[in-house]
Amino acid sequence: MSTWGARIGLAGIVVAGLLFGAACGADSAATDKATPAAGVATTAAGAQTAAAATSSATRPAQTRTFTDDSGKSFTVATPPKRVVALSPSVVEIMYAVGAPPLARPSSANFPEQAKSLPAIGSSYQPSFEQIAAQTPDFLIADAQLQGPQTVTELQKLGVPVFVIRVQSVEDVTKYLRTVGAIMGKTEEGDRAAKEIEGKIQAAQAKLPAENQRPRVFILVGTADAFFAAKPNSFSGDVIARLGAKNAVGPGPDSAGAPAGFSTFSLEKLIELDPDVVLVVSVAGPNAPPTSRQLAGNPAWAGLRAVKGGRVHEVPADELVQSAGPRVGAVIDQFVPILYPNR
Amino acid sequence: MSLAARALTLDYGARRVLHGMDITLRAGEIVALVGPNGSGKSTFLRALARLLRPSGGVVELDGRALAAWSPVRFARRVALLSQAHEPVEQLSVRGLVALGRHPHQGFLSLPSAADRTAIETALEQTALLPLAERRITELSGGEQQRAWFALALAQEPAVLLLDEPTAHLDLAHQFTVLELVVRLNQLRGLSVVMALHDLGQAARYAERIVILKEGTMLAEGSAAEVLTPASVRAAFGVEVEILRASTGVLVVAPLGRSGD
Amino acid sequence: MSDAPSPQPSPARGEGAHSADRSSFSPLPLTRRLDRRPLVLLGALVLLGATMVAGIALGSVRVPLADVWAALLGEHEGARRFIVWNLRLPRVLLAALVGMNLAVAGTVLQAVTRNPLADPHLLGLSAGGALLAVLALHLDPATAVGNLPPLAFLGSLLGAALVYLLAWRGGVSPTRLLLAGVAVAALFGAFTTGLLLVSTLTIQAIMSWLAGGLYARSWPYVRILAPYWGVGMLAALLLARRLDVLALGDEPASVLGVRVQRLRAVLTGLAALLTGSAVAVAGLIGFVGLVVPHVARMLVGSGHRYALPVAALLGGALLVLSDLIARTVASPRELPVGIVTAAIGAPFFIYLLRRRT
Repeated sequence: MSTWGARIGLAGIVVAGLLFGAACGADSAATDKATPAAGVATTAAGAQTAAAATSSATRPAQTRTFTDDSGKSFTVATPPKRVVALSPSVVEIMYAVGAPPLARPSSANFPEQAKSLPAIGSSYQPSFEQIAAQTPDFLIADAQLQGPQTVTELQKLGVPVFVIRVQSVEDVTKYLRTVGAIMGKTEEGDRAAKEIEGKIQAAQAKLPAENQRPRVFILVGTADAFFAAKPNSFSGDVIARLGAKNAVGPGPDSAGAPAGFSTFSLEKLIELDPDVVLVVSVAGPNAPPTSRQLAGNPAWAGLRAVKGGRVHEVPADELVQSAGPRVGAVIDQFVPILYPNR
Repeated sequence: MSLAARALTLDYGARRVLHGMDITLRAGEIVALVGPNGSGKSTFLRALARLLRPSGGVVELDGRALAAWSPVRFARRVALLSQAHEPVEQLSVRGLVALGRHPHQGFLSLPSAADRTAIETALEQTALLPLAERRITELSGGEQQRAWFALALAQEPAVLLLDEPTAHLDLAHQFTVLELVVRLNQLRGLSVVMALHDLGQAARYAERIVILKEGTMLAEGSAAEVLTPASVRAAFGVEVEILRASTGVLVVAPLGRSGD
Repeated sequence: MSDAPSPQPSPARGEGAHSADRSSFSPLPLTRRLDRRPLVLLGALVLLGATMVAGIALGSVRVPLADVWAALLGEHEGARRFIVWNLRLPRVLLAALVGMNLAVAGTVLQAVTRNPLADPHLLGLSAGGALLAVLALHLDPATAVGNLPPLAFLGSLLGAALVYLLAWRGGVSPTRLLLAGVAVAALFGAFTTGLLLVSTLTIQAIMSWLAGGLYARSWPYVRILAPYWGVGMLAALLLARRLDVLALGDEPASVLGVRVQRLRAVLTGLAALLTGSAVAVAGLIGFVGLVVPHVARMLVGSGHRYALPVAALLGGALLVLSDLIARTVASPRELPVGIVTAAIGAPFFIYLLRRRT
């Protein structure tokens, strides 16, 4: 037949082999860091260390150690200057402590100034190229949005990746302080945390007796398909700290639901018949709120909460999409809703 | 070379299709198998070609049972041309014929000079050289059949088994194929077993004729011995008159159905 | 090793005795037509090279070509070098390898089943790989990513074995193979979905993997896939002629000395190897294994000595190009790569179809 085909095939194999050889050699060469890390070292398995040893010898002993959500320790001598935030919660925390990030995920749009930051992709799939192009020296990730695999890949950028998790009010105050300290804004972080803690304490001081505390159902979703927020969700934690009882108990997450939520049907809700229903509409700003859509259903009208006028729309951003320092405002909104008689 | 069937029996499930066939093909012989449809001609050929396993009895090539042969070695000695083939897409005639060299080629497939010669020869003998680059799907039924025939020839077997090789060919090409068979037989000592439905062709081209009916050999021998009105009546249920043409070849003239 | 006896063959298709031989009427080329297959092969190689270059040079961050070149040569520190060496180069290379694996697996399976609609997903090979990988992650969410390819390969083999078991009746015919494959794919798909529902894994983690894509794939994945790719490509090329013989039909192939059942099993195993390893590193990417073999055969005919390498090169090019588009068009977001492969491949396929008919 034709030997041309064989020759071209051989040539192709040789070229592929050369490319491969070069490429496989590349891996060892390319593990050096993309950017210099500003005096930050991380310990624990698999982490990459910077030249912290030299820097800590010449700097004053301001070196502090922090632990992130995954249990890894980070030693920070000087606050990082180029920090990329990987979730809306992180962005808000950083603004709250007065140390805004360098870049944000595209879904983060609070506060107003954040919108002018460059976007590095979505929270679920941050763009490594965009992040690298920012030449960061520190990354703050969100455990609920970036899984361990993504974090591992992020670590390859050669900078420390500090993972936070905002699943409760305590998480907010904890990380306000931690992030504040990391960024050299210890006082601001402490102040922001204390403000929230103060609101909680004030509310808890004025709680009525056990039997007068409301049973609350937190409904998240649309009229066709909604979830109930369980005690281990952020909104569930908020009402718990305010002394309310969650109509839905803890239990395994149901099929297809995000962590902390359970799928629910209208029948089950009617069976529970809670005192208060807090509705989180996620259909977007142009769609009618979920509570109004549900109002069309006669079964809905039979709920005690509906009859008593105790169905309230509550903001999705602060409770679900971007749990963070704005919980202070949420507490202010919730207290009169839960305890209208005080 | 010898290809022999001894007491060959073959069943399709519960149905017995071949009842104890005994036949020996000697080197350089041309044998024709004739008989009505369903008499077992194809089945017998496929058993000889090692495609069907005997239910009883044995088939031997060069004295060894077929099961003892490796498939590749067997394929170097025996080739089969079937009646029907699955459509082959996108292959050129030359590409198809070249596959006949497979039993002779090792793992690395660069074709040798012997391969090229065999392919060219096969194409030439089947008058397919002008069509060699065309795709099989572009050819007529008859041309496709010739291409498969060329494939079998490219195998350079010692024994060629043909199942109705003249089906779908026009008269001229029927002659071409049969003359070619005879020529290969004379030049290369190719042994041939072919199933034919035209008794006259069987008489003219084969040294020995075997008449099959319902899986049994009714008669075996030279054309003169075997082609008699009595045997044709017994096998086909047809009344015929056997004539001799001016060339000396037997001609079978049908008269009508027996019992009409 | 004989097949089950089959009834008398029906007469061949084609004209009856009335039509004359067409050769006397059609124009006869006087010389052998120029064999353009080596040219197509070369063209496919060039195409793959070009798409890979584009994939390295382009991305969601603008890196000037001069810098790309410098980075490849080992100069430059910093973000640009990191982007080129650690993000784009491995990702592009991986896309090429995965695309080649899937295209070759599809070509082999279409030959084995003699069915132009066969592809690795249809026959339960990728479903088996996905099931085992999801099972592993369910049992141990911290399963190292390096363990997924062998697991997925094992899953593919198990899938193939189950398909064989279901299809076996004195041997495996192409039709039974296909039907059993469809059944197993559906079964495994149902198991995988069920597993996802009861699993406490975050949906995100698994869905993004299952949806198929090359997001966050770097050198470790390339190193993992490379041996499977190498063995698979070599085996496929060595078996190319046997594929041609098998395509003639079970009986003609047996007559030519091929052990049909054994070859069919080996080829299915080869397809499982290629598919399983590809699925393990890149999830389920459809379309490549189905359409690229057709395009290759349209360009160079069914002879697998050319069809296999051309399919491989085109599959690699398609996936590299699709991934490039997926990660730049909606930057900084990424589209699912399967959508892009379909968007590119389908119209091109239709164009080729209309040109030839």
